[in-house]
Amino acid sequence: MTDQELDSLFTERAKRQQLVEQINATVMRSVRRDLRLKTLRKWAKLLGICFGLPVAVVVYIYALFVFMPEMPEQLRVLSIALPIATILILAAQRLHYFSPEV
Amino acid sequence: MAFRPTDIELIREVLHDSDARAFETLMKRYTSQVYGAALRLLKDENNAQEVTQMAFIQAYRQLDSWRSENFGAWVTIIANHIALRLMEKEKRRHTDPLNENTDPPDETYDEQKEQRLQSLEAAVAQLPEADRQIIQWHYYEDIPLQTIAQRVGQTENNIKVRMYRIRERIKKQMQS
Repeated sequence: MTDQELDSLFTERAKRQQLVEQINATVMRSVRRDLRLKTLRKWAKLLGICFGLPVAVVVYIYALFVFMPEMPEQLRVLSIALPIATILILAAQRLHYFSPEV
Repeated sequence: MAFRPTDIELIREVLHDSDARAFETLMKRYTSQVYGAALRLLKDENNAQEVTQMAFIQAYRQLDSWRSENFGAWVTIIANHIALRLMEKEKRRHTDPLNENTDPPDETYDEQKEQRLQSLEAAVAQLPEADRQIIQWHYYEDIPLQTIAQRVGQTENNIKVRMYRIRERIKKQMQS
């Protein structure tokens, strides 16, 4: 291989390097967008659990308190049993899929 | 010598610390390899670029399913799958008699040139870090030999001799 051939190959490689950098930049834009969305989802979930869940529970208990005296017996039992069953099923699911690894 | 984290360490950083820079480091190691593989299959630079980007994005999203095989080989397999799907799609498009707006294939692809570029890539990767830096300055940043000599604290003649040795080493590596 002559020096000129090697030089032209290096020129080609420089062009390829630019292209590779362009690919890397595009991929990293997408990766950073994914990360931002992931962080946003994590915070939204945290806020939902911290504020949304207590609000939902309070509203539900208030609704029960207001409407329970007018409810038929079966519906009363159902309105209490259903949320308890839901909580138990969710807890069982969490325990089933729990892994100490992050 | 600078600390060079392994692929597994970088992947752990991405998965546990959501570290985008770790993924960038990992990607930089293999972009050229994956692009070369995609180009060999597709023989079209634009499509190869697109496939490489898609492969890395897919690899990032499925990183938790990675099972300690070679990361570069794993992304190359992903790229090959995407490329094959694209080729099938193109083939269907070309055989569709209703579709006359077909792009001509890229005639600029040269298999031999591609192989030489890959072997140059491999030869440069095997150089010591200091020599690679000189190559980077001289060929890619167009820095004059005199300035390089000042940066590394040697005379210009020394750098010329060093450049000659580097080139000979690369040639020898490429021919073997």
